[in-house]
Amino acid sequence: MALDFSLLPESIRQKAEELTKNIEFKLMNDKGANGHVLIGYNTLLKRDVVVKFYYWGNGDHAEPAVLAQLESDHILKVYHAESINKDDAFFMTQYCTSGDLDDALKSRKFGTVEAIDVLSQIAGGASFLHGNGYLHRDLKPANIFCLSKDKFVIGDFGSVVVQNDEGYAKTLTRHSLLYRPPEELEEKRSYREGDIYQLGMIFYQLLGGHLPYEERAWLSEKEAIKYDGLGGWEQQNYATSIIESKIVRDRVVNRSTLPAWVPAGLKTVVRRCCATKREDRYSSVADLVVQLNNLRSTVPEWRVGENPILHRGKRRFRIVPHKGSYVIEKCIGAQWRKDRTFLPETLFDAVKFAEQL
Amino acid sequence: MIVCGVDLKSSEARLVLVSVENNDPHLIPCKTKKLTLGDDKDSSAIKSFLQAIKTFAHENGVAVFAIKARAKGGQMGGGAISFKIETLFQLSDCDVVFVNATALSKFSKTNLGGIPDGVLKYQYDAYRCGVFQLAKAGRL
Repeated sequence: MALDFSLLPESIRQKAEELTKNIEFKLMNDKGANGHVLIGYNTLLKRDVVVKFYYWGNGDHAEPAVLAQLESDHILKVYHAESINKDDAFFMTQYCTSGDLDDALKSRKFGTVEAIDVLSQIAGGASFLHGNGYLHRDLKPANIFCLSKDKFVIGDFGSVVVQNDEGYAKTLTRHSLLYRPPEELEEKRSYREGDIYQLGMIFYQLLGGHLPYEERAWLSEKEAIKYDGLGGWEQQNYATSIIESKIVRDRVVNRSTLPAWVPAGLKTVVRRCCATKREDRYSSVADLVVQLNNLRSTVPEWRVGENPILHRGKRRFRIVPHKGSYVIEKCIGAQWRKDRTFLPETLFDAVKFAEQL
Repeated sequence: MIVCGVDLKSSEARLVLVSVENNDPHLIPCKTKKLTLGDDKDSSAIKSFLQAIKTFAHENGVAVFAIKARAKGGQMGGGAISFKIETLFQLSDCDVVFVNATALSKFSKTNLGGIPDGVLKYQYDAYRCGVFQLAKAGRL
């Protein structure tokens, strides 16, 4: 059954209909707030593809033709990109059946080393863009796509802008509020350090940090009452102003919500990436990637399933809740045996003791 | 032209970025000074290290890595892991040249081989490797 394009704006509807010559569109995805996304089967390429229509503002965002030239292991391949008119453009990429990082974060928890590896891949993609003179500006789990269980790539280019010689881009177009760096709110400029800030937020989420997506969750009880009394745009504006003030005051990333097994070294990486002043962040994504690589061998490898399990070479230790406190179990053969050396009362103690074993 | 001088010690690579400014060697300030390979038997650690080299080279516009060569055997031979690291640099899609240790020692006695402020002691050989390569390429 052909897809109904009547929901698309007039300016891009015609192009979408033109594309049906080679693409059998199956689905319209409304997950991306920053454009229109269509999913279909490309009969020429013989594979499922995603077509994203985005605002490029005649030079405000990266030129569509340039997007098609970006080739990196950590960036989703753009098969084709083209401008429609002076405001709109579209690009076509591979369809990732495994979904995005948001889906992965909902379905499973990432261990410490696993989180480092995933962030290194995403940062590799961001670094590639920076090295070629672009800023991504909208790095967030919904824009990171999963090619396989452990391979992640950057896959949305609707906010990519060209950085000038001084390393920033002046643009009035906006993207996801929660991931917006403080300097972008104050100066209306995007810097490379802005992408580093967003990488820090992704790392925070990978490590298990709490970041609610519903705007109401960011309001205090009193603010929520006022919010409920408002409607439409007023309600959204009210919540936006509160979240923006939290971003500027460094109240979005709450490192105390990170699980007990996240070591201080990784918390420091999150803190440095998400520092309010951009001068306090890593000066380049390459510095961040090197830091992650150097930390990788020193970080205890916790994997998180039903219970957290510490992997140390061939040895395994897990923490299991037991009568209101915790107990550490050691893997012997295929069985788990209680280790009675330590009797931790809190999860933090249990982690500390397990790492000493 | 940006050259990255590399000195391999044990399981770490010490890095210094140098270029030419007014016909003189110029030290490029860079926060990244060391790159460490964790467990060399862990393929994820190897991939992570390679990824870090590629990212560092691409973002900093490195044209060539100049690595201080080490003997493959004997008392003064380099460690096995450092040769593995050497391979990872060679796999990084960036040119790699090797600087002979004796030539480097001789070069250190020349004016160009002098160490400017800002280079940490453990980076001396890496810095000299970078400048040596610039001189060899006729840029100085």
